[in-house]
Amino acid sequence: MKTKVLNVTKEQFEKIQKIMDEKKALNQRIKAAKLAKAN
Amino acid sequence: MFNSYPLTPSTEPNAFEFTTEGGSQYYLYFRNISHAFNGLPVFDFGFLHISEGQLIEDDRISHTICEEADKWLAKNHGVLLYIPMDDEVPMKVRTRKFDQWYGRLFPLFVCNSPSKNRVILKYAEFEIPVTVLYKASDAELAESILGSEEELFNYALSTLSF
Repeated sequence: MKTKVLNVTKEQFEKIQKIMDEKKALNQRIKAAKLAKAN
Repeated sequence: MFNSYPLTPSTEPNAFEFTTEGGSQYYLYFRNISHAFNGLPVFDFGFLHISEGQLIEDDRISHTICEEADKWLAKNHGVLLYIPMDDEVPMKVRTRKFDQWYGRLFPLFVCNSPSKNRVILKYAEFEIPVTVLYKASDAELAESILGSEEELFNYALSTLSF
């Protein structure tokens, strides 16, 4: 496996952070829906 | 052969659920994130433990998750990104665990020579580890997203000051 350090621009970094935020929101939504269904 | 759990399609598109022998429930999904990559076929791959209570880990969990990634790569043109969640578990710990699964199960993959790269996306003092999965025929696509060694070298040179 190769590991690269990719220096990205602020804009690129913000895009990835946005994806991570969306991912976190999705995870929270899925977990909440599962809990609501269980109760 | 993989020793995976059977999957149930979720109500969401490109998402599945499975239940382990220990009663833990998992959610697995593929999400199109081409909007962040100039329209290139890039997908976010994620999985999470969704049931309450302590997770009882077993080997079949990794089999199920890695087999689905393998199947996805075999069927689709595109690059899969595993971007770890940034929560109470450090991102590097999640990435290391996924790498261990992938390495251990690599001989079982049926996809045409799946490849993997670990990339550390770095901006100022911030770093995000991302695992990039793709099949041999999509290596060029992966390179266009990650940048070639030559481009990275040129970039490194351009940042030097004399």
